[in-house]
Amino acid sequence: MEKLPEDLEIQILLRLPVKALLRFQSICKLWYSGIRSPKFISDHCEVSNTKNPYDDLIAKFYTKTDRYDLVNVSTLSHETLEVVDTHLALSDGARFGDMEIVSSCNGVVCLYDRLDHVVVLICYMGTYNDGKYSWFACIMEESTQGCYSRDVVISFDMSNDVAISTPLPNDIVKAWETRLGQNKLRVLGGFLAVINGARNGDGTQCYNIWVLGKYGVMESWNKLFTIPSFQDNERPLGFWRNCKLFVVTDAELVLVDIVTQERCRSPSSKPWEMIQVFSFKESSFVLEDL
Amino acid sequence: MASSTSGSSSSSKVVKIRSSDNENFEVEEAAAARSETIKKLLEDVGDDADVIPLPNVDAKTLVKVMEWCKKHMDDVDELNKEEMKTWDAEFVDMDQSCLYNVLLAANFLNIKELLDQLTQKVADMIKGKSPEEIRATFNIKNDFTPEEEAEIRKQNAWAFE
Repeated sequence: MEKLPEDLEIQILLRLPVKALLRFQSICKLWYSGIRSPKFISDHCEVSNTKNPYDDLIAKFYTKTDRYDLVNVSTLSHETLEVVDTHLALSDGARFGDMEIVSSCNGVVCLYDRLDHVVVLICYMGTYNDGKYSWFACIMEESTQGCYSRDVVISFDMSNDVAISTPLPNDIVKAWETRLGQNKLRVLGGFLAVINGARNGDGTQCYNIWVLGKYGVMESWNKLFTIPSFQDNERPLGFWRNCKLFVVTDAELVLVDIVTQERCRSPSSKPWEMIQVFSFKESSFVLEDL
Repeated sequence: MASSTSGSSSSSKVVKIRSSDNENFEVEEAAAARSETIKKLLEDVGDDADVIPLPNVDAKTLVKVMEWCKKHMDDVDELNKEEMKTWDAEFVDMDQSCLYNVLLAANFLNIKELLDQLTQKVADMIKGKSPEEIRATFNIKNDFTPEEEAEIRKQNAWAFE
């Protein structure tokens, strides 16, 4: 093929997967600086989003083999849930098991290492959406009746360094006191969402899914879905394709349709236990040395 | 109005275009107007236009591009989306030199949707290739020193696995 005009070359590069872009940086100086330019990186994100509105997933897996424990962090295809790439894998599970995925945004994954504190970011168990990093928190408030605690979501706006506090409605707080550890802050359809483990009136368990309309406004929490849960040892992990909820039990990974409540076993054929799962979108952002 | 006697609906209005190798084509206006470039030229010259010259596109390529424009003349309803997808996939499945010419033509004629499909096709063709193969395909000269190239490869070692 003859040499293409530069703007067409860029149009083609914008449609390549990140792995190919990293490889092609070594082709010539023009491609190197082009692929690494902030404009190209954000355009590439935009083209990828248009091509594929669904996020892939990034998950932490744990598996026992005869010889060692294996923990790894892998990305999964949004279509098949098969592992696309394994980014970190160590057979020394005891050491590596202390690493948690904190959150992921535009291809940058924040990991937290409890032993070395190699990468420590804002908070444990948060999520990133709409330019804001949010996490559950408990704040103390003083009033004439004395001091009392209040459960909130704190959202830190990266663009102006302002933290917004959104109180959680009583319904959420009451429910999670009965099923501790079953609450997750995630993103659903572009909105901040709480997966809230709760009990129905008859004592059976369920998950309520709440979506926040406006940061800072407690009244804008809306309970959109209620999904029955069948086992005591079930834990919600996160969303898939904006319509399914991942639930993990001791034995298997289950996908529950949040609208129809239909359940099916995960099509992922890996016999590994999935410990954490987050939405993930690949990007060619370059992190300079910290 | 067109200079012909036909006074029926505007959808059947025909425009004449001429390739770089001086071949004339009659194309329905709705198809030709998928090209922003032709659309703009038609607006500029109004109804006085005899033939729209396209000095950058040869006849063989123009036939191919107009085949796409004709197929994409009308909005596609949901039912035909799958069928259209198959048609598009077959359309872009052409040999490299043809693909190169149609790509340049789509760029010059400013047909965004076609350009998207063609650039995606080229991206799919090259995504698994090595840097050496890419240089050969696009006729690009390696202007890195061996040391510089080795360093960049080292930074992105996992992408070469």
